Amino acid sequence: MNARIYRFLQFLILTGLALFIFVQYVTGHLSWYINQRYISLSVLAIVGFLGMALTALLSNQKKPHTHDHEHDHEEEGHSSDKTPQVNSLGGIFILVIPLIIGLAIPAKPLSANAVGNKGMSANAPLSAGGNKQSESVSKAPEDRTVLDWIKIFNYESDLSPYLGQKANVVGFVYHDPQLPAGHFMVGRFAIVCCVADAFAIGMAVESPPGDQQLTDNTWIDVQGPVQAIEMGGNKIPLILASSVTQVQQPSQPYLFP
Amino acid sequence: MIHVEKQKPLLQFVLFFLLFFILVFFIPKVVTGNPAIVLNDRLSTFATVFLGIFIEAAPFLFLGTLASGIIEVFLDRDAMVKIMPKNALASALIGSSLGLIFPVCDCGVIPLTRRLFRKGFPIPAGIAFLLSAPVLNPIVIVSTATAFGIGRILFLRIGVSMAIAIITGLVFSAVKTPWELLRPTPWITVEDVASHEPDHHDPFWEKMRQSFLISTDEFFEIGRYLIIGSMIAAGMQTFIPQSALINIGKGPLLSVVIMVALAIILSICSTVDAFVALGFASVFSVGSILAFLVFGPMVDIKSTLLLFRVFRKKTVMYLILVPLLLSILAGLIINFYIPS
Repeated sequence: MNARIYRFLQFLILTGLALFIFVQYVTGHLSWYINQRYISLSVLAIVGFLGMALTALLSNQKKPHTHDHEHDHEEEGHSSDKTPQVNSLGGIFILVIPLIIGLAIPAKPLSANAVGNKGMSANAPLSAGGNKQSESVSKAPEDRTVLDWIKIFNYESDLSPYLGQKANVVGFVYHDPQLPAGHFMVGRFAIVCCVADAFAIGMAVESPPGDQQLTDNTWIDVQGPVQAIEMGGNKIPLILASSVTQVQQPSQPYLFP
Repeated sequence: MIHVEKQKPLLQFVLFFLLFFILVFFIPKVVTGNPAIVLNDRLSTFATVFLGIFIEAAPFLFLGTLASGIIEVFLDRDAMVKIMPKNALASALIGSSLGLIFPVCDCGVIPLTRRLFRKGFPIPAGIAFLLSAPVLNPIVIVSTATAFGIGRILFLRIGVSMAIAIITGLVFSAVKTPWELLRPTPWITVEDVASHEPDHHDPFWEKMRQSFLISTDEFFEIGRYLIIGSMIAAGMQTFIPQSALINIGKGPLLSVVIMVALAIILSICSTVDAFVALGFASVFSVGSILAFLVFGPMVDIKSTLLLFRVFRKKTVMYLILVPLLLSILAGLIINFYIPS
């Protein structure tokens, strides 16, 4: 391949990748892919990609000597415009795949559809840092998230002070086949590092009588007193829903333990 | 001596990947019906997970190739040969602790090791560096200490990783030259990027430009394997039910195997895997958590693809199997012989 075209393609692809991550950063969608804590790393990637793009462009604009030009395609050529042999045209286009996938498939956070494969759990791995549940305990009951309730149910040895407290949580609907009829889960995805390690956590909900059937993946706000229920040999929190209202998906759909 | 690369392995990966797509997206379609919706859901989960792994790993790969470019331009081969000891054990020891100076993680270490071999790095040292640097580096030590505190898990992680790296390095000490280990691909060198114009620039900045251009080319070379690896990992996550995996076994023996399998599938970067492991610490045995923390940074799906790019097939088999068996062994010893 012509070396100058090759350098220019490198420049285009790297700029494209940098721009793609930058747009995700600006729109706040970056946290659909990685934990907020590591967003500075993506800023580093943007800077690095732009730096490499600039280098490719600068090296492209160096005019080769006529001597080098004649030997452009010879392997022993030593001009700066020589295409590195390790990179074929097909090879460099693989770098465009993230762009294609990112642009062709609309950006979406993980949803209830992914639960089927990852499984939803009420005793999932959650803790990060020393004090596992003290923060969740000290919150007012109506301020606790699904994650806070799960932590309490996992790490508090005596649940009695919490039973009967009024929960108010937001999450998506997921119908777990293990639950009895009239029950469903209100779930969230929790993310430690990036979506690769996402796991779904959820609380069981007993729908108010006469409530319409909600489809999986509907975002809802559930209110009601908390009880405990046995599922798969574990005690998990159950909300006896007094009200279930449909809400918009929160701008930050994941929870970060 | 210039070898022209055969494109065949890449083609195989692409074919494998296509086959994978068919499995992932069409089998569930037969099972559950309403193909359009299932396909759409799977595709969107796949895309999200793939982009997640790629966006997280990209800056680390960039740092690794940047270090490689700087070494190519600034490090003198003769000086390197003089510094490194001839004794295999001593050089493996030095190699295994070099991560403290080059803080690279599991993506970046692979191109960097190849570059060090080119600069005359001894084989046991290079192999030990390859396996231990993703754990024994300042960033990972801090993140592990943050997750687990300064205690048993942290020291065991460092100690066991170093031990496995040194042992594997010694296994390779019978090999005389790195060319027996490395795939015969052409190198991206200073000669490739040197400008032959009369130089008006500061020589330092010209050298920096060369380093950066080498790292750019290397990023393109290794990056495609990262992308294909991330796609396979994302495909497996979309397809293999992890909940089933976790529920299979929590006993002292099975848990070790399961956590090692999980480390391979998850393909997360060693800089943050301690936080992920911490999540499992409440459910899984100490030995299995340790096996996850030790083996995950050495081998996972995405790094395996990078390894196949850089090393010969036989080398990669050894690089996977020796640490795999040793990690499982270490996990079992901890579970059965060390009281918690």
